[in-house]
Amino acid sequence: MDSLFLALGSALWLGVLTSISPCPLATNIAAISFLSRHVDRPWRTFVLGLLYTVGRILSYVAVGLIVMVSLVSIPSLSLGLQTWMNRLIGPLLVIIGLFLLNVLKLNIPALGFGPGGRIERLANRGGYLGAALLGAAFALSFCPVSAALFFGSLVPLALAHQSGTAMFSVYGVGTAVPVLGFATVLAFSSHWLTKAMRVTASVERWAKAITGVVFLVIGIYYIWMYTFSPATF
Amino acid sequence: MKKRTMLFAGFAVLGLVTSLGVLDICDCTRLAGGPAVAAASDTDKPISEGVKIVAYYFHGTTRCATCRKIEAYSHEAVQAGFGEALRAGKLEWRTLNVEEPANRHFIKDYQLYTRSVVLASFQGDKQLRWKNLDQVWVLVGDKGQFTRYVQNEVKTFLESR
Repeated sequence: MDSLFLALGSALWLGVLTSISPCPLATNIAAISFLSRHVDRPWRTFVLGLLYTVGRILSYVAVGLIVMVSLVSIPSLSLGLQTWMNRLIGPLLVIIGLFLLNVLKLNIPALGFGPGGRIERLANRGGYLGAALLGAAFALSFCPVSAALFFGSLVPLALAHQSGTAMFSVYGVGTAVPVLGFATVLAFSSHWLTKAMRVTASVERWAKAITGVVFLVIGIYYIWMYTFSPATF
Repeated sequence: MKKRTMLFAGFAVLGLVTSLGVLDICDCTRLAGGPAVAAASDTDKPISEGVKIVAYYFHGTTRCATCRKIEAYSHEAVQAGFGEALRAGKLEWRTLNVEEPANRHFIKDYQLYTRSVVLASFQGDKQLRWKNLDQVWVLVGDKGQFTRYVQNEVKTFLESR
């Protein structure tokens, strides 16, 4: 029992280690910016952060279980995710950024897109699903550090303790905790600052625009690094 | 209006500084005008006769900051601890880009799932055994422990060859 708790502690630490390494810094900044943009309702940031964490957990559990039941080999899954997810993340971030900046607008009323449509109402409710999907997508965009710690350290730990789901979930929490903490602190401090300066409503609009710019810049950076560089994985 | 402008300017400066930080930390040498590919990449040359140990560092074309640190620490650990074996040809350090077609087979050979340090012993062209030093990723934050780990592993390989 003690060894299981020790292993769960190690899984949590591996997650934190993944999150604070320089490699996923760009996606962490995008996530912090996305989660903490609700200056007028800072508690929403915390709830969005929890959903972002759930998204990450689901991705890691899925990948971990695929590896544990040996559906695919670790090298091909790891290198495949490092290649293709990082290539997908760039355009995805650019598209989300353009939506946040109101540059891109979809007007298909039948599908719920358009002014006052179902999608806009959903987005206005705080993008709960968006936060979870963002967490899931960012977790799947493995970089050398996360691939090494996940496939090289966490998977053997999970295999040794035969408790994959718990290990991968705790690891997912570890990867999200720094982002969740930072985003919540940022949202609360911005809220107090803007409330004191009585500019909350306008800052909310600017925060959304800044989030859009951050997504755009990081998206272009990913496209450059993983698609237009001479050769990458 | 003035407050709003100041706040926006503050956020914009923060965003710019953060973006520059990201580019710097990720060591994007191409963006900074540096060389596109690291020059020090060997080819998959044949192993000379006799039992010898090869310490490989496998990387891709895009090099992250932590990956470069692992390469530098490992190379330094091998050079500092085994100068004599290196000079005698009993030990060799090789840096290989697994994205080059000639080196792709190493992904399957050594089950590589990320940038890796691998030790392999050879008798002529025949490989006797190999080991992926997977703890380098956990220990990279502590140079002393990292160096001891790599040197102990190389020592074990040299003694049992």
